[in-house]
Amino acid sequence: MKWSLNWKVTAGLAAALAVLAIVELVSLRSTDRLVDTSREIVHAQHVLDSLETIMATIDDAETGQRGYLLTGEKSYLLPYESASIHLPGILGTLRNLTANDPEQWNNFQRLSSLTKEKLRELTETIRLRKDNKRAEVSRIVLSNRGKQEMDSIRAVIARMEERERGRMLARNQQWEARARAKRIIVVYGVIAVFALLLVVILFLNSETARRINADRALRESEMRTRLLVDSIQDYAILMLDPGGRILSWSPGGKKITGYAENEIANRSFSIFFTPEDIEAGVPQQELETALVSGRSEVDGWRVRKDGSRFWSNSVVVPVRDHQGQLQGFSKVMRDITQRKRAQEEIEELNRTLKARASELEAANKELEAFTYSVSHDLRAPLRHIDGFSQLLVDEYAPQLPDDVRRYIDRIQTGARQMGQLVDELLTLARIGRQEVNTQVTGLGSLVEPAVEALKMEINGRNVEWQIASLPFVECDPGLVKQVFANLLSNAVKYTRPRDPAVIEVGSIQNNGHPVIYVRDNGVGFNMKYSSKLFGVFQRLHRAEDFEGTGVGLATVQRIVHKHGGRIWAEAELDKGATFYFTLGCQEN
Amino acid sequence: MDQDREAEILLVEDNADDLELTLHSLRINKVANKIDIVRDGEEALDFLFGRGQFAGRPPHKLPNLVLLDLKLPKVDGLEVLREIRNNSLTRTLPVVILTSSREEKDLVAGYQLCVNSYIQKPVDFRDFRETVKQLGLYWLLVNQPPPAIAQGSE
Repeated sequence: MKWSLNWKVTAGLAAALAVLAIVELVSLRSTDRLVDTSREIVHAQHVLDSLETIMATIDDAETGQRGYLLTGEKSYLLPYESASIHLPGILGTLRNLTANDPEQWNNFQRLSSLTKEKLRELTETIRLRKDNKRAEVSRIVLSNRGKQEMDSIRAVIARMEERERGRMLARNQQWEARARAKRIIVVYGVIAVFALLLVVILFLNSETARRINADRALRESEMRTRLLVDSIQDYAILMLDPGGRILSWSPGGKKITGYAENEIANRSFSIFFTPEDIEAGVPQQELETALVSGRSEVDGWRVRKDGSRFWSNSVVVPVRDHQGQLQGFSKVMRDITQRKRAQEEIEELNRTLKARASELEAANKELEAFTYSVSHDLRAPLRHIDGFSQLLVDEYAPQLPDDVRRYIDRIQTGARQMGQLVDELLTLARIGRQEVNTQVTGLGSLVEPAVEALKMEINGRNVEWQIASLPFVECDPGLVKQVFANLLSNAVKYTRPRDPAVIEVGSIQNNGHPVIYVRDNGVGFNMKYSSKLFGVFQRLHRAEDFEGTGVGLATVQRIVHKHGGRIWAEAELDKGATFYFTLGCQEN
Repeated sequence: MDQDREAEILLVEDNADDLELTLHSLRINKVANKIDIVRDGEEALDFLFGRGQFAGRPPHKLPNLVLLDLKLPKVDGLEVLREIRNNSLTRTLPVVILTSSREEKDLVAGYQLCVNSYIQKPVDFRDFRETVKQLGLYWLLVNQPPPAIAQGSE
């Protein structure tokens, strides 16, 4: 592009100069010719002047001779004497003037000899008159010799004058033609030069405008890039030369490492590395990896200006020009110490959690072993107590006093209650360990069998069931069936004094999630004890009034919690109670 | 009932109280005339395969039903069940687990070893007695025993 531009301008200017040179050359030559021509014209003029002088001098001399011959008056001799003195000089001049022209030279020779002849004739006649040899004079005059000589001189001079004039005319015409040609060449040449210069100027103008625009665009682009790089505070953006020396630096780099640009320029980028890493050749490896793989990403401890260390993540990429020649490397470095610390904390937490988890697992195993032995070893003696008590009654009933039979009955009741308690505790423990296997389940299908199972217990009581259509939810059907069984069993139990007992099952929507409720018109409870409702072995009624173990609601709550749900109750003493629960999608 | 039969029921029970209550329940309901009793898992296997103290017992003389407790000294109930199922002679022998445990893992393990029935002993003795009566009636009267056992009893 540059070369082409230079070439174009140079070619334009060279063409203009060439045209100018031609014009100048032509002008110069033309001037030379003009000078030559002028000189020749002056020369011709000199010749003409000389001829005229010669003619006039001779004419005057002859006129004076005639006067003297007639009068003898000596004053007539003055022109003759003047001619005698001046003519040789004038002839000498003319000889010089005609030396270069052979024809004129011949004419001059003739003129010279004729002139000398004339002067001799004049000299002779004047001498004869002085001697008063009148007859001699008359003879000479009458011989017409003088007139013939004069005619000859006139003829030669006329010939010479004609030749000179002709030459002058020719020179003049030649000069005019040349002047015309010169004018044309100069005018067109100047026009051509102007045109060429105009083209060059226009071209330069457009090129300059284009370059200015390109320059501005480049500057703006550079400024934007600079602003972009400067605005990035969390990353150090560096340009390295192929040897790893720092060529450019960004404010983010100062923020991360503490080095200002003038402190870091031209230093090797290994300045950020720890002495151990430098020893191990880590900086060089980073560049080599970038060269081999096209990219190198490394995490590691780096050193700030103040010697403190930071955990960095850096990416190095080789930078090549259009020809693929390595120009250096770009390096982007981040301080991720915080992240590293957070990660380490998380790892530490994970380790702790894993330890806790294995502790928990061990505790769970222990609990499992405990419940196993409870279910086995605790139930067996109860069974024996009940069994042998029964055998006692069966086989010795007639012999036993009423009191003994009553005591045995109490023993059996106690044993059976404890058996039930153990069973329920085991259920609670089992639910705690059991995983929730959810599937979409129609809750109505879980309520039905629970109601059915209570038919025996109702045993002729007047119970009004109001069971609304219930939604389908994702839950573990086996566990949720237990929830309904326990809640409905409670409802049946605590409505025992009511006629009719009304037990209601339904659902309401809360924030788009179903809330299931079980409501009864039973004896209810005081809300100030509601916090104790779901605790294991917590009972709000006396065992004489309502039997129970205090495990049922704890089991219900555990199942609901296992589903990620919530359970709560609203009640009023002697007015009834409502238990609400959700399955999953906790509102908080 | 065939009087030649070696035993109608083999009762495997280590606990003396349980043993007495079970036997009482079986007898009072007149379920079985012939009940063999062993007190641990090793004895149970020796009995079935005619080994140890039961060396003289013909192995093919098998009971119609085995009532098996799980928690047994020496060799536990599940191990006994595995041995029974691994032996071609006893593979089809009806075995009912009668235990205090209703742990899920015991249930799963029992059924994986192809137990024929799993019954938890109820705490309430009247329920227990009823249960024993029903299982005896079912397995000895209602149920048709597998042919190998029938053949063995001839």
